[in-house]
Amino acid sequence: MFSQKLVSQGNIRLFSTSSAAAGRVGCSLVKPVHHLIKIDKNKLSPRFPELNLEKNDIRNPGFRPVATHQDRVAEHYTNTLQSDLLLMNFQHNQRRKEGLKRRQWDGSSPNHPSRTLRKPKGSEVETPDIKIYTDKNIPIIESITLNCYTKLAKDNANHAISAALQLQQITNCKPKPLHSRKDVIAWGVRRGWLMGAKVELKGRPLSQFLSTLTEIVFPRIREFKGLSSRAGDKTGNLSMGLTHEEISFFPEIESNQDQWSKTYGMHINIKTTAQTDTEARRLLSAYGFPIHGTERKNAF
Amino acid sequence: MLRSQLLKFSKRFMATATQDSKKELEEITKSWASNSKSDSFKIKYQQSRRAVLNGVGPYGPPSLRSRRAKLQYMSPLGLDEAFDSAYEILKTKSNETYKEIEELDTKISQTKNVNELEELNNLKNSKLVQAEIDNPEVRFNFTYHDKINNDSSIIDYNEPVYRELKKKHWEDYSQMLLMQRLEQLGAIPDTLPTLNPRAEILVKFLNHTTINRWIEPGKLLPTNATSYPPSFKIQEYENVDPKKQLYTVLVVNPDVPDLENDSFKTYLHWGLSNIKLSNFNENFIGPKQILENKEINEIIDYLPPVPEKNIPTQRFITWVFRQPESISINLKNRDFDIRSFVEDHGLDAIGGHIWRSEWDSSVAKVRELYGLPKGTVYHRVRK
Amino acid sequence: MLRSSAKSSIQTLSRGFLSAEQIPSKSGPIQFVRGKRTKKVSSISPQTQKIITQLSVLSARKKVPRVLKLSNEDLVRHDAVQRAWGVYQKDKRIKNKSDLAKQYEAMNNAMTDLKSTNRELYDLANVREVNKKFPLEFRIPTHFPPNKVWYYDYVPKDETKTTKEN
Repeated sequence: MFSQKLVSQGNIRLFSTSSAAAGRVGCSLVKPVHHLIKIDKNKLSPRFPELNLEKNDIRNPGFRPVATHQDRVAEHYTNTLQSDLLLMNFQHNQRRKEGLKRRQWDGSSPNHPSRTLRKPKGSEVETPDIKIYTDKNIPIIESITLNCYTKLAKDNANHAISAALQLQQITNCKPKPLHSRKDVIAWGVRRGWLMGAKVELKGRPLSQFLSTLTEIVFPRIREFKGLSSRAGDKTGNLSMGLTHEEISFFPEIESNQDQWSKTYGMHINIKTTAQTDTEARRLLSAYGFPIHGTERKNAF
Repeated sequence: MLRSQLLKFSKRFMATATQDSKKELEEITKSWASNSKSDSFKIKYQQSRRAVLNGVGPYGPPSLRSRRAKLQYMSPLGLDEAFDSAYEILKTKSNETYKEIEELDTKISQTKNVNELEELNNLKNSKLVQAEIDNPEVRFNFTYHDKINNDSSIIDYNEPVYRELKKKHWEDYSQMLLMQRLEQLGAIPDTLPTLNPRAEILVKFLNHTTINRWIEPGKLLPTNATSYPPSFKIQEYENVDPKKQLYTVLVVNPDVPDLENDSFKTYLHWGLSNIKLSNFNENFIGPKQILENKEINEIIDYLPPVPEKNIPTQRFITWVFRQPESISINLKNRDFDIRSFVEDHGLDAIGGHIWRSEWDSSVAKVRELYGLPKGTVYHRVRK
Repeated sequence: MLRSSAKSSIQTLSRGFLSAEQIPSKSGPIQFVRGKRTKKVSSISPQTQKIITQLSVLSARKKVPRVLKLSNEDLVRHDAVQRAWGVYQKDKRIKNKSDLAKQYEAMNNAMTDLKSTNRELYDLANVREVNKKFPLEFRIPTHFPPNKVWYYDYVPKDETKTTKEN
């Protein structure tokens, strides 16, 4: 705020950063460069020449074979779902529907010009516009994040390690450690404690996980109703949870049950490119996700 | 270890006895698109060509030296089958591109508008690259042969594919190194404000036996080595007409002490203009070319670096320009303002190079050779 | 230190899982004594041993296969195969995109025609069905047919129920 005001005075030339306000030097200490060639120092270094090769070069130690098998889930999407979804979402003469945006103040107070804009009507935050459905924006599942935060880990960090291993066994992807962000006295948790693990699935691991989930795990859950029609973040990202008992239906865990004396529940966050939750649920229903309840009345 | 080796050997010999023996003698039936005619699109050495196109035979890959390594080598399973179908896919793509090129050719012959013609020619150039860039033989030729002192029957830079491959190769290392050095040594704002590199400039001092190799930009060279004029190689990557394009080469030193103004001034150590490269392969400008080619104009004769004792390291920056028209001026005075010279003649800087010099024991000898006065020795003066 | 020292021995083991700066510092340096027996006499409890095993499963060590050593010729051949695969995939993508574009265009044209011929039918066709979903019986194709291939006496779920709720 401070530096912005200074800049707007106009007669003094100032740098448009907030670093001066933070008590740091107001100018860049990096020497100017007189050319437009981007220099990659790794490529100039004689060390580790193999790492400079492309990632899909088999001489690169980071090479991982990707297309090792048929991806029937992805093929199902391109062969069948894409055109179906295009048809289902299509509406003739559709117009771009503007989302909820922040509103101007009515100017009744002299403080209004400097005040941040008024909240959108009926919402705390702005929502994106709903664009016209075309062949360019057919919804697709971008990624699935499995989040395994276990309360038990506050007393014994070993649980977090076991939870990570559980995620790895299920997904065949390397999980990342999950730390608590804040001190929460009510939960007895301090900032920085290792509390579990998470993993983001994309591409083939995603397909694999999705088919296991819908074909093996869901049918075996007792009285499973499915995803709620009211869940979601309004912008096409849905989430659901699996309890620690339901986790043991995964074949990787089930086949080795005596080793898994304890299993850990997890959250499944499904990130899609759908513009609304309704559209996202429609997409998920094609993969065999049961959905219960009815859509909201004002759903688009 | 012995046992596993034995197994491997026996496997190899078993294969020799049955089917692989055919492979070594098999005719090469594969051929790339019918329109790709240049000799450089084929692997010259027949054994390598057979190994690339038909697969590695029972006597092992020709690229391996020792007999033992050759016999031990096993190709990955399934590569032969995969390669055959891959080759077909790539070849049909190439054929399609060549068809597009034929259509472009007829278009080019019909158009008369200069701008349109240039656009079409550039498009044709990119299509020619596209048609050959996936050719395994082209890739083999480029990857495993000398790219600078190239044999034009293997790597022919008159073909746009090889120029494109070399450009990528240059951008991956040499271009970045040059720009880093020019920036670090302050050559860019001190001589010319900036450089947009479009051609690779290589510098070599032929006379000196110990460093008869291409000089890395920014290297500190002994005075002895730089006593005779350098030779250049100008590797163009853009689609210019080598028969018409003229080049200027300037070697400047921005670190000459200027005692009157208590500063430094720029000297022109060597200047050549109206250089013509006959094609993209023959682009070396050495003493022989300068002597034989009467069109080349020497703006000023070569003054070797003879730095005085106790002055800072001297930078010698080579600038190469494309010139719009021929330049036939000769200078007497070495005091030089490179920026105004470039502006006056409308020169377009396409590349550069830098080396550095310091006083050493051979300076006196070089001064004597060129009939220069004895150098001064600078001392620190307390202010 | 955030935790009591009782847990710290495990935390040092979790190096494979945690990044370096996140490891809490150990209580004291490891002292190496020459001539001392390094073989452990099972001082680790079975629980700790289990965690060690779990960490070793998580760690990437030993799982990275050795880099394939190919001859120059085979490298070029392999590269050609990869390039062809890329070309094949790209062609497929382009075709899929153009198919979808054609479908969209056709739908648009059909609706425009319908609008000019019969407004009533057009309005019916252009109703947005919020509750439209894929049926639960919809399956991702598998390599092999199911044990029971076809349900001849299958009756779909009554959809009127859901519309009533609406």
